[in-house]
Amino acid sequence: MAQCQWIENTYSVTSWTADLPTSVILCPSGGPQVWNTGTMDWFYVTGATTQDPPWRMLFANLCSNQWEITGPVWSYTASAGDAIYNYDNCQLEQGKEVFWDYSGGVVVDTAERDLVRDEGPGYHVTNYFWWKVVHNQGGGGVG
Amino acid sequence: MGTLATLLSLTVAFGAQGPVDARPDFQVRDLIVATSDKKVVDQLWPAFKLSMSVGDLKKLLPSDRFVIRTWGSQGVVALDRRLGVIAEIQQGVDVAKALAKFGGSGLAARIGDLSDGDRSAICDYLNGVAPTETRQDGFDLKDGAVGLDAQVSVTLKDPVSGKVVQIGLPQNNDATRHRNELLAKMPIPLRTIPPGEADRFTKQGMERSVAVGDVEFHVFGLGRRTLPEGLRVAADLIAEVEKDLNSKRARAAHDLVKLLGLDDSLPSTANSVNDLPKSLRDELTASLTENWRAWGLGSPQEAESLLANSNSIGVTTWLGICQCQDPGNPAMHKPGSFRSDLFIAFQGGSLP
Repeated sequence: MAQCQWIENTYSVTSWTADLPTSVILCPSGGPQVWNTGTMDWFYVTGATTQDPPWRMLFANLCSNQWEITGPVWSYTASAGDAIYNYDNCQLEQGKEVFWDYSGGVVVDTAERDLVRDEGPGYHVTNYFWWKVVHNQGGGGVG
Repeated sequence: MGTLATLLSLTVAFGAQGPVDARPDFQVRDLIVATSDKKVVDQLWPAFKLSMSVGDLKKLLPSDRFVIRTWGSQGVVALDRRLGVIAEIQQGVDVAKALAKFGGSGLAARIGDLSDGDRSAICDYLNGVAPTETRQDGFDLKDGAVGLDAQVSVTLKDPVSGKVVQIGLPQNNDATRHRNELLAKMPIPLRTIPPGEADRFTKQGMERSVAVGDVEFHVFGLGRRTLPEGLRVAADLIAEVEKDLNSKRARAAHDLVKLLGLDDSLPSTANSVNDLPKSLRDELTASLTENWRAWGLGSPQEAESLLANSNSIGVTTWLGICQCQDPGNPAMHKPGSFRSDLFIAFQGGSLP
C-alpha cells in the first residue's frame, strides 16, 4: 500500500507596508488634547476547513500569536478646527501554501492554507505609530 | 479670532476701496498702526510728532517690518508684517520654500545642514508648535531631521444625518519609506513631562493660538477724526497683503505637490463620490470600508451609505513637516513614534 505524502506544491507571500488609520480626533474648539493609541499585532494562520492533515494544527499552534501594542501618550494644544489623525504604520503579509497529496505517484488530494486573519492580512507588525495634525488655517485652504 | 471677525465686518460695512497710490512726501496728521507688538507702540508714542514728514515716519517704521499706505490728505496706515495673521501665512511660505529643497535629499534633511534662512524658518515653526522644553534635555535641534509630508483629506457629509466624516489618505510609497528611515536615524526625542509642567505648556500653546488672531489698531495724531476711513484703508491693506501672501503660499504648495508626484488637479469640491477621479475614489472607498471604525462609523454598511449618499464633498491636499520622535526598536517589537504638522493647504484647479 502506497504511503500518503503531502508535499508543498506552491508557496507565495506578499509583503507591503501601510498606514492604517486608528482614530481621528476632531477639535471643534481649542484646548489641550491628551491621548494615546494602540493596536493589535499578529501572526496567525487560518484557512483550512478541517484539522486534517494534523500538520495544519501544528503549524497554526506554532505560529498563532498576537499581542497588543500600546503607543506613547501624546499631548497637543489644539486650535479650533484642528484635526488629529492617528495611523499605524505597519508591515503586512499575506500568503498561501498549496499542498498535493501524492499516493502511489498520483495526486489524490490537495489542500491549501492562507496566511489570513479576519479576511485581512495574516501578518501585522507595527513599525511606527504616527500622529498627524492638520492645522486649521482660519481662512481655509489656499490654492 | 474675535477681533479679526470685527475687522472683517468693518471691511464689509465700509465697502471696498482700491489701493491709494504713494504720493510725494507730506505732513502726517493721521496715523493708524496695525500691530500686536506692544513694544512698537511704546516706541512710537514718544517718537511720533504731529505734522512730521512721511519720510521721517518711515525711518521709524522700516519697510522690512512695516507696509506703509498713505491715504486721504494727510493719513498713513502702517501694517506690521509680524501681525499674527500675516506672520502665519509668511511662515507657511518660508517653510514651504525650505521644504521644496528636500527633493534631492530623500524628502528629509538634517536641520543643521540647512541654510541659515531655511533652518531659521523650520526651527521657528517647530518651536512654535512644540516648546523647546518638551524635547529631551540637552537635545540640539540641529541634530534632528525633518521631512516633507502630505496627505489628502476628504470631508464627507451625510445629507440625512448631517454627520461629517473627515478621511485622511496619507502617502505610502518607496520615497516616504526611505524618508522615514532617514528620520528614524535622526529623531527629535521627547522628554517625559510632569503633569504640572504640561499644564504650563498647554497654557503657552493656548496663548500662542489666540495671539495669531489678534489684530490691534493704534491711533496716533488726529487719527480719531477720520477713524472710519482709516480703518477701512487699514482693513483693505491687510486683505491685500494677505491675498498676496496666500498667492505665494499657493504657488509654494503647488511646487511641493509636484515634488511629491501628487495629483495637482484634484477638484476641491464634488457633489458625489462618483465625480472624484477614479484613483482617489478607489482609495477613499477602500479606506472607508476597511477602516470604518477608525473613521468613527458604526458599521461597513454605514460606510457604504456615506459613500453612496454624500453630496457635499471637500478635498484638500495638506502639506507640512514630519519628524521622528522615537525610532523604536524593531528587534524588541517596540514601535517608533512619528509626528506630522500639516499646515499648508493646496486645493486643486487653477492657482490664484
